[in-house]
Amino acid sequence: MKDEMLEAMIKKRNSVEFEVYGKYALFSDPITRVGGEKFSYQVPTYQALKGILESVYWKPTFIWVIDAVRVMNKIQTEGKGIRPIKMNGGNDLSYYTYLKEARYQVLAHFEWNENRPGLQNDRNENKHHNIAKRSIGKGGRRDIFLGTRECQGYVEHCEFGRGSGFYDDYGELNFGFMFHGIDYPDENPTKNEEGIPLRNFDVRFYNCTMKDGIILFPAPSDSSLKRRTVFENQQMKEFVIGQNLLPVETEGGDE
Amino acid sequence: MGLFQNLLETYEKCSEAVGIVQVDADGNANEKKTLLPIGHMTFKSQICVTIDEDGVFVRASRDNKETTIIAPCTEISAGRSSGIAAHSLCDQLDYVGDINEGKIAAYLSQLNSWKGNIPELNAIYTYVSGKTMMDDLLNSRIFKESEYQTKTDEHGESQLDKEKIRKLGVRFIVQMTDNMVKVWESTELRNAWIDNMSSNSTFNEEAFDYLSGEVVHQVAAQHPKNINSLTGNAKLLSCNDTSGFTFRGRFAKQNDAVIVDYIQSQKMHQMLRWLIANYGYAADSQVIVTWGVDRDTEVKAKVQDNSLDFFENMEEVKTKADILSGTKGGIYADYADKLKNLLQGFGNAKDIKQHFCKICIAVFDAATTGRMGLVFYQELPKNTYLENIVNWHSDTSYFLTAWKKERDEHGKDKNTPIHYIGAPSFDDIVFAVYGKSHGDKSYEILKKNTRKQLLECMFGNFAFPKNMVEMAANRASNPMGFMDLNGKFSENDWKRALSITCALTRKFYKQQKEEIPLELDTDRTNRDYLFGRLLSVADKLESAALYKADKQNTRPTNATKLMSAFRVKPHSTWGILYDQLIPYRNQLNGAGYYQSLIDNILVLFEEGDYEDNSPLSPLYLLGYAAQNRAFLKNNNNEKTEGTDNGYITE
Repeated sequence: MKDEMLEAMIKKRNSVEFEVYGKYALFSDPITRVGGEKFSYQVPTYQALKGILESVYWKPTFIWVIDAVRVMNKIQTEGKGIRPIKMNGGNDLSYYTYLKEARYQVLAHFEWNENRPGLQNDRNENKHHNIAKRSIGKGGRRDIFLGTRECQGYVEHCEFGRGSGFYDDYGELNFGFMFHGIDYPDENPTKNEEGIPLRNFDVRFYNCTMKDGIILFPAPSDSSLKRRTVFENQQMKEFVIGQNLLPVETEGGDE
Repeated sequence: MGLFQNLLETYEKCSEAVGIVQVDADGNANEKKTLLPIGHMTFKSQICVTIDEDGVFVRASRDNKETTIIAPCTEISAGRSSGIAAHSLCDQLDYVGDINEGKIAAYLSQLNSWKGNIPELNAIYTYVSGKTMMDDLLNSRIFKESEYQTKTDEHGESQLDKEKIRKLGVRFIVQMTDNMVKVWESTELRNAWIDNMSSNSTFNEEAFDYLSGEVVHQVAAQHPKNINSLTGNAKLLSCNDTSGFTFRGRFAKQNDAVIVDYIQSQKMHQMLRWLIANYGYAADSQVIVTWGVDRDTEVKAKVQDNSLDFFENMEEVKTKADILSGTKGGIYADYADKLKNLLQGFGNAKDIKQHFCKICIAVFDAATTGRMGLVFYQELPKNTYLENIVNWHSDTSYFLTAWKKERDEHGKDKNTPIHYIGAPSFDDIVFAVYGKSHGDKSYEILKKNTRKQLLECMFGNFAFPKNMVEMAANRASNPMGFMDLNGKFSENDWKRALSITCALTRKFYKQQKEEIPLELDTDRTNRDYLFGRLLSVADKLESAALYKADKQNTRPTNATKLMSAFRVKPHSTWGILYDQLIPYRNQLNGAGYYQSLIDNILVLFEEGDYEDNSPLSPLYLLGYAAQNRAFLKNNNNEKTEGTDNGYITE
């Protein structure tokens, strides 16, 4: 039962909850994506949900961590013929397969980005938390999309676990080995022996299981994740309070 | 799980069947239908060379026709076109004969790298490196005259035309002390090659395979093509876009974007290729494949079939009573009901959990020649899969007729009609909606799109499309549009389309939460239904009069001719039709029975409905067909014998 799952979950004091929905969603499987024929995973990836929340509210001071997602509607797909435009002119023809009538409830919280010690003065948990909650109430600060740019999505406040979903009593469903997310250089927690961040670009994979409609995501630092470093020691953008970043105290929210 | 993971799992479960050659009904081996071992491919060979275990030539023979064998290959040789890339054991004369220096060297060095202490391989190595094969073959006189050059040299002897024989495939038999080893069939040699492949770990240990998460032995640089033989060049996976931006931007190189292990890729592709070759359901570039992730991958319940075929495929129900052929009285077997009962029994038996089996449905299509995409994929537990199908079969059921090919007592083919209540097949629906094929490509495209739509509809992803019902109803309302090859009205086709359309209409209304019974509902006051009934009575009245005058089936009735107009303007057309019936009514001495029936129907109309001249919805066809059936039934009761013309409606 989903209620048992909900009871086992611990909400953090800086947790946010929201519902995101859209007519279509496309969380493309990297294996088919590189060929140009995109096929969606059955469920959203960690990274896609993190991206949605970053569109709602984000500052370099903190990192969003997605705790769980609840799949509300039955997983359905719809294939479409697509005419992608090539960079060197002309067009291609492809088949993309989208998820239909996607609706998800998401539980997430934020953690300070330790790779940016210069932003310590901006770490006002209460204020960030309240801005984030207000932003959710307004539907987000930037465009929301479910996985791929053409899949417009909409964000609303909700209580995680509220309402009935298709998979509430479904039991366990295993989606196999799938993509979890990317550790971008500015958020990658990996450090060398001297404690200096390595600024690597990592990709993470995991074995995804959904129980009664709820997927509990392992945290990006979890040791159960399969991790591969693709690029080492990358550049990261610098943020300096007052120069190219407004301190949270003077941030006006979105009123 | 995803498609790829399920294919890998299926391959593991089918490991016993790997490499075992399937034999066709005519007794010939069919390698295309054989589940190939990884790192192997089918190879066409014509020359068989026998050597002894010391690598000494014994004899050579040549087949009349190319023999397809299963031979080991490397990743590069499997996709070779030009350039040098040798197969690992059996290859063309170009590589094993002494024709091309570079190629024979490539072949030998590759064989050397894996022959180890295996005596058969060492014998072949010794023989091929001796470079005597061409002479041995010449002495064995296996070449055809046309393969010699027309010019003769100074000794009056003709030389071989090497261009013509280069591509001949060679296979080896090694004569050991106690037996003859056909190297292409030897399981030990196959395993030796696979072991050799797995031991070649060339990549760093941090990388993992994106398909399975397992360690990587060798990164697949290219993936196999020819997965679906109808779109032979299309690859399911590809990653070679160096100019566009499918992965460039975030990633620079192919290996940054995705890593697939060669062995896992092989397993996945061999499995998929085998599934498509054996169970694929193809239209144009599209192929639908359904399989169970189990030891026995064949799924007997085929989604695309009509209820009758579907039933015959389910062994559990194949009892004598169920198969009704050539029945006289038009006895209908309600397959959907039977199936439902069967499933309920199945569900109670508690063995569903034990025999838990996953069923995968995948549809592939290629928008361009080079790539194929997965356009539909669903994985269901077996019972859910069957439930979905049963729901479809019961919601879409109607009185249908199928024609079974049988042999009569004189050994001639004859078509026997079988009446059943059930769902039409996918292709029947295509016929009702779009008509018959004229052999052009656009029809194939319509067909594949409809198949996919129906599949999505069957597994709950879509409501049954209204446009299909409307189109089928438009076609069925225009009986004069159904013509046979001679341009004459084809009643057979029309009645077939009509009953399929009725099935679709029932499905459509069912989904609007309106259940319309199969038999005539004399209480239904719906306007469309009643007008349909009126049309049927007019039709019956006229044909009864024609029958009396012994002119039955000489021409279509007025009601049939006016049907399309009737649909668009029911009220005014009914006036015309009613007037046209006057002479027939007179012939039948006033036709009291039909007249009272018409009056009874007219009474049922609600206020203003009868005068409403707006077009009828597809529902009127159900009224029409149900009234027709009611007449047929009365007929049968009176005569206590049925018509055996095989039609549902008369």
